[in-house]
Amino acid sequence: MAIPIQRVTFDRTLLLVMPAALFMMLLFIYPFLYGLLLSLNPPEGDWLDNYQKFFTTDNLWPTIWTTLRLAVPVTLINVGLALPIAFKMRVHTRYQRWITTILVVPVSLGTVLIAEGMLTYFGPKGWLVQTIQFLHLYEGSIRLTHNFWGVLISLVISGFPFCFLLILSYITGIDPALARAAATLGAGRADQFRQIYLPLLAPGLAICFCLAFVQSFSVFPSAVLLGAPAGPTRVISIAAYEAAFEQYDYSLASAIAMIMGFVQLLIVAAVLGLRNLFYRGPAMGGKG
Amino acid sequence: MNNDFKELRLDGVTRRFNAGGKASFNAVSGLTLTIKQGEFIALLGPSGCGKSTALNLIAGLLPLSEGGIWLDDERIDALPPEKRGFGMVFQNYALFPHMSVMRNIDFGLRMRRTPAAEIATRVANVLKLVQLVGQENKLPGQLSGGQQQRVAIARAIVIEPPLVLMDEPLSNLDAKLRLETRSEIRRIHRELGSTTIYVTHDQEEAMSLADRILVMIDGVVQQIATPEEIYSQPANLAVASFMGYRNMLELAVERQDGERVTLAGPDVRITGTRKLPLTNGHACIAMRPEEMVVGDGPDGANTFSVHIDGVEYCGRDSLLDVTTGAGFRMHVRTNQRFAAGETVRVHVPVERVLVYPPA
Amino acid sequence: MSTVSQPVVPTPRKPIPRIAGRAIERAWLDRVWSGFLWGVMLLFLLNIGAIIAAVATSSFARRWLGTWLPDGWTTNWYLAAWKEFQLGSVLWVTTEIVGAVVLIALVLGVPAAYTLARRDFPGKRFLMLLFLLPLMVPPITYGIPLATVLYKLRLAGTMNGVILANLIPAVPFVILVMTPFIEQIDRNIESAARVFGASTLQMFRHVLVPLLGPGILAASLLVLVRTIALFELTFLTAGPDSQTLVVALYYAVFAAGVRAPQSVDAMAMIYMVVTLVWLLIAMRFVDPTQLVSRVKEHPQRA
Repeated sequence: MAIPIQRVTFDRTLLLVMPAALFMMLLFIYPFLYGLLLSLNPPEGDWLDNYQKFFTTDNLWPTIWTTLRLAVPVTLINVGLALPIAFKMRVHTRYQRWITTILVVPVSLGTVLIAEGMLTYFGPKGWLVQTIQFLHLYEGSIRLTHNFWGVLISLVISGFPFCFLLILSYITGIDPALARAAATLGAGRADQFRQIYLPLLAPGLAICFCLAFVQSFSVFPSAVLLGAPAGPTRVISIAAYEAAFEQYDYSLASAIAMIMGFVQLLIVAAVLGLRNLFYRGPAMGGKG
Repeated sequence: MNNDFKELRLDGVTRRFNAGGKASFNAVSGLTLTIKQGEFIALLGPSGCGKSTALNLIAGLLPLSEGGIWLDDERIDALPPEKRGFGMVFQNYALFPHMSVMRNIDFGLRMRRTPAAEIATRVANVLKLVQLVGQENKLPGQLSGGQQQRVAIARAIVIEPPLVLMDEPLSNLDAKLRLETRSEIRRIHRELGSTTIYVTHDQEEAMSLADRILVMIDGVVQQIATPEEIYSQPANLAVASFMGYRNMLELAVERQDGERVTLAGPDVRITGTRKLPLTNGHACIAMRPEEMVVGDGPDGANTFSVHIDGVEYCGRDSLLDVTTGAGFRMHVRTNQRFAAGETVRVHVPVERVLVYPPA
Repeated sequence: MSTVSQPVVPTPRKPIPRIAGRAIERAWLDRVWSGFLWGVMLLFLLNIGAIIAAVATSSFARRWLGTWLPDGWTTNWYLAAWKEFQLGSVLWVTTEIVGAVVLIALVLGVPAAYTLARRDFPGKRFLMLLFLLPLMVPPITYGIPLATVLYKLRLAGTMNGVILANLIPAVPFVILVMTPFIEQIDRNIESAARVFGASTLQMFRHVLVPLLGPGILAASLLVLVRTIALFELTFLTAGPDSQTLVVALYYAVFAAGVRAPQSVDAMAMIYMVVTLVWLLIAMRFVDPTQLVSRVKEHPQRA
């Protein structure tokens, strides 16, 4: 929306956005396009050879499913857990700040600490197994590391705090007067949540879902450290890394990266498309 | 919850807030009031006086610290808001931004699982009542302030609540719209006869709408009376000051004769009517600018000369900014024309000078 | 439960004549649901606590093989880790890189956020997309082509290359965090500054920067924490002399075999403490509940 007068006298404030825009063009868009071209120029063969290779090689194309099989449940768990807990924490109380801080601490742990800790804690002689055997809860063997579950748990631990913070900030952005108004009109707590909070949160939840999905979709270190990188947790980023830094086939690596970005954007587009079914706009009940 | 009730009783309703640490203060203390069905009550007071808190207590949005609320014989102060079934109009309307006008209005009926056919007729009626026919499918964001206000009212009254609570509903409207919506609220109340509690800080609004006004200052009820009484006979100095008695002078008591008291200062002697017993030798008089008259009074009573410092032109009349020789500042409203610098004589009728113990 | 419900029902002093049966049933359900949530939170925190404790214990353990607690305690692993992994230089490199990233991201991001918050112009939606996209695609996706480009420019493996790579998510992040901060500053304040004769630059220096102080602090702390923790981009672009702590840590584990796991644990603890300190500082200055949007909570006492 151009205000006509701006065509006459150039608004110099617009210059302020230029450095950042230029930077992103140079370091994000250009490499991206470069990668795209690179992926279409394999060292030998046809221009679509890399993509054909990816979708016909047995240790490449299944990585998409492996990644999605991890990323989708992890994102659902993270958003699904964060939503009710953030909803519970929305009211300002003495404890709110404390609990919020404690729940955010795992952000600082880092993949390696989580991995090391899980290997020790969930390990065959770890505290968890010892406790369970001590209490005679379960006698069979428990394996929570070096497999699918290990990666899943580690992704939940590192992803949940982020979802929680984001959703909490969306929830506290909803004017509490709306819920009060609904209450005076006869809506109980469940109805207040369903009719007021959920529809107003939908756009925020979509954003949160996308961001959480990016995090778990690009899982790399934890899949190596806690999973079985040769088998069940051979995710797509491992394939890309191997192509680039073990086989030095940058062309194929770029192709894998492009496929990865494409799948990611497909999911994001689907989620944001769903979001458009809901109301978008200020979560306030009138003039503020 | 039945619509057919005789009266709503507030009995010593009190709300304490923690003011950090162990300190606490009473936002509302000891509010006792009986409201008859069909009455229009205004809760009037300066901002921060606790009137909105009182409304939230009645609505069930805040728990009481002490006291009780009774609807006839049923005690309702422990019920959550959704069980009380009162209609409430919020200050910022609190319209659901994601629902159409229609969905906003029928929200309360849907929550009550009202049959669709009945919802349709009731919503149609209320839309006519608030003159919003044809706007049903718009979102609140697409409406003007006045229309949003009417949606908020429609939403509250469509459930036919025993009690309608309004929290400064006109404060976000511009002056012209405020007057129009005020008449609208009056008309709707006349047509439906719904019992209403209306919170406002605007004395004019309160007087034009209410059957009875409750004046609240610092959480304490000062006076409950009809608009006429509040206007002409404020119960104490604080109410008088709030109700527009802008001329207040603290003077020595010269003579007391029943309710009639004469007070004197260096260059004024004024006789007025006492409202409360006077204990020490000083008292405060309260006079409205519009009840001061330019010229000598009968027999020269309550007359004194003042120097005009400034003139505020208000159209039909002007407000004179005056001082007496001894430096008492006063305001006088008159429809005669004067200029700053002139000296005039003014008087005030004895029955319009109210005398209170000093604050 | 009283922490959640807005209308808290007080304990009645006199018996309430009638309460609908559904209300009691719902109160009971509320309590079960609330208990469940607390349980989940407790389980989550308990396990995380145990995970941290396991690493901490191991990092101080002389020998720990399948018992509840190790045989003896020692701080040698920290010394070993410090020497073995050249932690001193790694920490210094990390500080330099993170400091540069924060500074440059602020210089680029804050003015951009200002323009986006205040002006409407053709192409604004495109720019928003441009700034949002790096946060929406996995770092590996653009990290690999970026690394290729940086190798061609002989920037890969150097500090500058790592800084450039880390700026890609940092700049959009600053913009994302700063925009709401700027939006909530009354435009009239800027107009007032202009009316009193301030140029754009003066207005920025004397009016906006002081007003934006808390926002800038918040953004820089959050970028700082994020950059310390960002693994993929540094991993793809760093050389032996430009590794940040996360990457050094990853290599330490990856090449584990030869090293004692305890010294890796010690290093992980150092990493956690470094991040945690900054995170806690950040949490002091940023109310996490106000990052996206700000509502003035109407005080109940009116």
